[in-house]
Amino acid sequence: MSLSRPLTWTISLVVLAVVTLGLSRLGAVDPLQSAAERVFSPISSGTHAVFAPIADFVNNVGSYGDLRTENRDLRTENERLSGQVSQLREDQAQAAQVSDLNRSAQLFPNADFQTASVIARDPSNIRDAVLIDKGQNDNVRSGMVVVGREGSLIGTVSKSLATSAWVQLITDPDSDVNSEVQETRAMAITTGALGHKLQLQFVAEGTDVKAGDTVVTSGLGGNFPKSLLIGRVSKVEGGPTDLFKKIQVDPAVRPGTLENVLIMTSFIPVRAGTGQ
Amino acid sequence: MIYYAAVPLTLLVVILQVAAAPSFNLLGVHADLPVVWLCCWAAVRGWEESILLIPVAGLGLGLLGREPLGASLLALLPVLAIGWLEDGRTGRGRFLTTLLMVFVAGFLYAVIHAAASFVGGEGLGPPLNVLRVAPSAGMLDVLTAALWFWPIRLVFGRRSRGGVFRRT
Repeated sequence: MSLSRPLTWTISLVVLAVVTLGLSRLGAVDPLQSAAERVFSPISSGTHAVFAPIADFVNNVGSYGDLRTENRDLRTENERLSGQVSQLREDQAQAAQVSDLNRSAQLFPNADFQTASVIARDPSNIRDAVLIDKGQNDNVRSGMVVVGREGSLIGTVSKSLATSAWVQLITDPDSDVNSEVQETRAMAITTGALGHKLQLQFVAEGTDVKAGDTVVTSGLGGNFPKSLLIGRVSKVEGGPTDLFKKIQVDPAVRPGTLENVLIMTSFIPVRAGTGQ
Repeated sequence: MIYYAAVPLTLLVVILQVAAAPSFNLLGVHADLPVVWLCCWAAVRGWEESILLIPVAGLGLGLLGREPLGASLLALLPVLAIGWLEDGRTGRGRFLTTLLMVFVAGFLYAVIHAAASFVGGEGLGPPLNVLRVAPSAGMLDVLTAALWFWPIRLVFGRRSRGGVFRRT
């Protein structure tokens, strides 16, 4: 076989390669490359789009075990992070509630408060009470007044244990609070009713009470400080011949949403003093 | 006639090399499809037919790829020399010798291409990288050639000429 022919071709192609390499270095072939790019770009893109999923499958088919392990790890990580996110949200909500309570405490600059969390609810359908995580060890005594956001009345401590206490809510059917309608100064007694409701009783006929009026504690009897928000009148019923009007009140704080409360430790109610 | 069909097929292989081959990674490298195609073609059809196909593939890669024009052409030239050696010494269309030819050509392609690209102004990182990649690329080219060789030989192979004695 003759050596000259392949050698000639090889040298020719080497020369061609070196020349184009030199031209490329000088930037002389850039327009040519741009033109080729423009012409072949759609074909290249189409080819890539066709082969990319195949390549993805081929590249990963050998690592099925790794993918399963990775998937399991990612699921575990996802569950852990979801838990953390949930915890952070919970912390944020708690912080917001504590902030609300602190604002409430500022409404009573001369009073001392103890913050507590609701840890249980009375399972009975005929009572309305919650268990808080502060008790006698925290100087929480029976009869102490419990308030919530914006200084609204929630209830009273009905039974104080060593590290916890039961709070009878104002919506408990056995609860009654001396109160008044803020707009008309009409005195009344707010009692709890089944279904977390409140009723305003003993409001004399002829007294101008209407829906939307604000009901606050009157301070009479010495069991509650004066002017604690109880709720707003939602419905007024009563005919001309009725002795008292039948008035429904929406509590300012919904018992079902209670999570944190403030115990007014500086106010000693009369019934606590008398041991009731 | 088949010879002329090889030109568009070579261009197709170049497009596959630019658009598809980088997606198929094994051992951290991808196959050099033009090297495999040209080696198989030279093994099946003879080294003379690769004289035209090498510039087509080399310049095609230079125009479509992100590399200095001429680097691939220079890197593909060993195919011509190896094809000539294989054709003359071991005979045409031998499977194992073709695989050996592909490995050497693939190895040299990686090395020469890196050097030529460097000369053409491309940054390549540490020089030892080339020597680490070149054997892997050669091996992957061999694997690809093992898949391509028989179909290419079946479709494009020349029919044996009766009575012609060839040295083995």
